Amino acid sequence: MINNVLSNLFSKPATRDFPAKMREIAENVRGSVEFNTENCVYCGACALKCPANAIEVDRPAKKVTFDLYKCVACACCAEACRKGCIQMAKQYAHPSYRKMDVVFQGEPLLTDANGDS
Amino acid sequence: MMETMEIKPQEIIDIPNIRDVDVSELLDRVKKAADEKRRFVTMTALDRGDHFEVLYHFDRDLHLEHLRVRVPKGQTLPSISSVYLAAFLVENEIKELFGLEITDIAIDYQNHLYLIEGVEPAPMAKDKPLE
Amino acid sequence: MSNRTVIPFGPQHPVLPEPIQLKLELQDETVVSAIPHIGYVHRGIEKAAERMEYTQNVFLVERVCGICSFIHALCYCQAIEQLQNIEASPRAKYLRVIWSELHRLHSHHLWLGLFADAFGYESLFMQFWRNREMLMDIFDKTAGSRVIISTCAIGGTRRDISDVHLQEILDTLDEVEKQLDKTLPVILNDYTVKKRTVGIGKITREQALELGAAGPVLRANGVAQDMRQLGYAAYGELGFEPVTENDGDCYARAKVRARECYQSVELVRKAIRQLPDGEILTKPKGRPKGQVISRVEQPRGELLYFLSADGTNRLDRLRIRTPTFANVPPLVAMLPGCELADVPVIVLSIDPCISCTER
Repeated sequence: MINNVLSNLFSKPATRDFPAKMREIAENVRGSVEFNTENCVYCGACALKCPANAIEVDRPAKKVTFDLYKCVACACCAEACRKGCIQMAKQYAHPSYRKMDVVFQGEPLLTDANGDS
Repeated sequence: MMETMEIKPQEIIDIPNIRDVDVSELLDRVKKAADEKRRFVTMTALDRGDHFEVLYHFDRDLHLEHLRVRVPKGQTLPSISSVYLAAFLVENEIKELFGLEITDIAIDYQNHLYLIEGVEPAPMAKDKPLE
Repeated sequence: MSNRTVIPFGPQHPVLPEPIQLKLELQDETVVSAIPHIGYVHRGIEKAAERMEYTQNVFLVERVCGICSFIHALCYCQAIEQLQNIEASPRAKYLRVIWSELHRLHSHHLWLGLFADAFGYESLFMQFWRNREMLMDIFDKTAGSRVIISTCAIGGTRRDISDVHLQEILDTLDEVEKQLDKTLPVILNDYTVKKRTVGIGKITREQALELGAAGPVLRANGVAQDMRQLGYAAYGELGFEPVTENDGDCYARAKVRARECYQSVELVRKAIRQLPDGEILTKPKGRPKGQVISRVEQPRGELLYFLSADGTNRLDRLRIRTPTFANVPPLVAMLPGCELADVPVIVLSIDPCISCTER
């Protein structure tokens, strides 16, 4: 009993000082999908492999639409991409007020369901 | 007579220890399984177009055995919950999701185990759209 | 002249993390009969599996249960491997054991915590969950995700575990075991806990078999049935013996799970010691055709997948029988005769996972 009391008095708390001290994100974490459309040939392999149908590739328009909120972060698209355009970023997707698609046509654009940016 | 027949037999990987039974002798077979102290594992229903295929899975000492009945659409299947009470949940599920009428289930949820009022019945049937 | 009342227990109840409703018929304070009502979280996963390609289904079936996601994927992948006639490499098999057992370990921690919470032992609940956090960190480091780890693939595993991480797992397990030594005696030897679990929710061995109980509920009745005895993945090479207890009450079920925690720790250690080198992924060839049944042991019991494929890239039928589905009828048999106040403890003692049950 007295041991428990003393050890609890003098040991560090089990929790973290959250906003000040963030949890360290592990290496190789499948955080969120990051597109880099510079080398993209719009082959559509990522869209084909995606189990959640979160990616749409429009080849003639050279457009990739990515639905961040359907994505299950399985990293299948990153494995399927032969050009190395898709990486899993070491950070988690941030919360947001609106559900937005990420559209890549040259520069990445954020649009909501109606196409407004 | 069914799609499975079209595939060449040597190509099919099928589950072992399966026995085809008729709907009329099903309950006797199930009673025999119960007498031999087999543990009821579950049932599986498959929609084969013009008929349903229902599999009964039993386990004894980690060894699976199966009974298979074929029920033409529109006909009923007797419940085995009088022998194995444990079957009542899965029988309700099959009745509700496939639209196969199973009679005399020990606890009958009247098609409201999963589905609510006003929902299209039998969503697992093959003629229902996938989306 | 009957003064029976019907009390709805759930679907929202402080001890229930998931929605199940029990309509309890009471004679004074004693339960006479119970009728379970599920259907609050039915997601139609079996139907969705017919829509997706069989390779994509791996990620779908993982979402049947968040707590034992890897084991669902493992069961599905083993079924497809049988249909395609391929075998995972030895290293992949051992990795599968490691992740499966870590999942079992964290699931049992989660359950022990919730069980403690059902008596109002909140501090103990936090102790168990703090332990569990160490295991979740392992998943984060080795698999890249905490809960749905997505490392199982058809033909092996998608990720390897490096030697550094293997050592880290061993160190963590030492710490987990040390903490278990401290916390488990509280739940197993405490006077109040014993008062509320010993002899409560008792079923006989015959009843358990007849009602098709699975997993710890069955093993708490002295039936040594554990799907790991089938020797899938690398279990055949690890010398596995199931844990059994004989009393068939809530205490016996808790004890089975508590002892399985230690067993899982040992299995992971052994698997890491024997881990062979080599490839982790065998390339699948052809498309699945035929029917197959695959069974594995989940933390809650026997998990059965039935697959019917017709040679296209979509499955004809995927049937999932989760252990809680099998444990609901025994639960209905446990409740009559108990006090109303014991109902939460009895319901928790089968480790209900309702999302699994309804799929």
